[in-house]
Amino acid sequence: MKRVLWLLLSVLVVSVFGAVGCSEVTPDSTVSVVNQCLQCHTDEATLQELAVEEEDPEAEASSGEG
Amino acid sequence: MSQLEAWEKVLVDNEDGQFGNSTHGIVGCMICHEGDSSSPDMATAHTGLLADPSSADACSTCHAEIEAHDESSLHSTLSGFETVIESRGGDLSEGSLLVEAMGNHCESCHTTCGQCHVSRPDSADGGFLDGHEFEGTPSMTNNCTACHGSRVGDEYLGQNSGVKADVHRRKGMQCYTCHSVELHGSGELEADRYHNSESISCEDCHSDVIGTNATNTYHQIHYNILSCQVCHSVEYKNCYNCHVEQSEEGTCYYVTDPSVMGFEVGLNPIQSVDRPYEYVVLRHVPVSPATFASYGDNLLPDFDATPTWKYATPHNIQLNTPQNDGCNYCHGQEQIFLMPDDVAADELEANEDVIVRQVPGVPSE
Repeated sequence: MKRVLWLLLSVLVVSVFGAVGCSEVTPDSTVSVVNQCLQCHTDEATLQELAVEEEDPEAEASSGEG
Repeated sequence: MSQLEAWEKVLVDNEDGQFGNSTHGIVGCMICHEGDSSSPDMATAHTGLLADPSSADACSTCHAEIEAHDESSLHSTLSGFETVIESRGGDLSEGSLLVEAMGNHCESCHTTCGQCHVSRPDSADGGFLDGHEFEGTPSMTNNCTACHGSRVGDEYLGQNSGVKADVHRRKGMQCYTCHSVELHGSGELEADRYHNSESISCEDCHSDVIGTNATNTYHQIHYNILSCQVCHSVEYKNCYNCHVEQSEEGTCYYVTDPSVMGFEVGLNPIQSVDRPYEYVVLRHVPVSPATFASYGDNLLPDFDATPTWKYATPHNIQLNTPQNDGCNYCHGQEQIFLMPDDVAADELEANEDVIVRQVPGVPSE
């Protein structure tokens, strides 16, 4: 009976630590998401290659002080 | 304000984790911007992206109280435009021509949380203020005068030829020094910027020199008769004849006549307990009966119900001005006052209530 209790307690402890371990994964994946976006948006060369200057036909057609 | 290249506008400053480790950086890009950050492909990553999340109420998740308050601010509602259009008999009911015109031309002035605290406003071509850093206090030049530049900005910064910068500017003050709480609104829908219970007034800082007990004789005599600007403002821009148009390609644009420098004192069109003055400074605003003519005929059918010379608070305050050099520099001086001859014939009726018919005489000794 004592062994069974120890076994149950062990299973409980492993489950709790396992759950804690899972929750710790979440912030890591958030950080990797941040880095993924920042990879391009912190790279001047990449942005210079990809960024496109948008035309502003309204400003070109308008005249006088707004 | 220097112009930013397209790539500079979206360059995030994350040197040493500056942004990534900040409060806003830690929550992750997608929390605010959506899109798909798991894709290395630019088009896929940007699918569903919100370039300005604050336009979709993203800020309210954490800043609900401020955002709820701000929903009533003029920056959010543009209710000042609606007030003047309706005052001239304009129809702003759903589906009306003026609602279409407002959407095409006026709403680009609308701003969001992000366009003051993260980026330059869209109407000034956008771009991060400082590598996506969040700025609690907006930048005077990159935010405030980026929109309020041609009149207020030029006045305050001394960029009108021959006119010094505002004395407050010369003391190093930024827009935010005076205009703080009011920028997020009063919490109630405002008709215009002069009807905001949070508005700043000169008395808030200068109470010691204003009032009937002031040591300055001019201040004693003119208290609540003249607005402060009547004695302490100088020439400012007046604008005329704004027309909004649409090209055949659908481009919406505007055309205004060149501005004209001038200084006109007239009768107070919005006299109230808070603004009891008899005489105030007036500025001609860029409107005409034909402003919306490209959308339809006679869309401002009661044009004359509201003056085209409006209550003004020019931001070019000086201690000494030509008109406060002595009694005779104002009293009896018709050129300072808005007289019938200063008003276009077809605007006389609209300005009936602000035109000065009899200039205050020279006071006896």
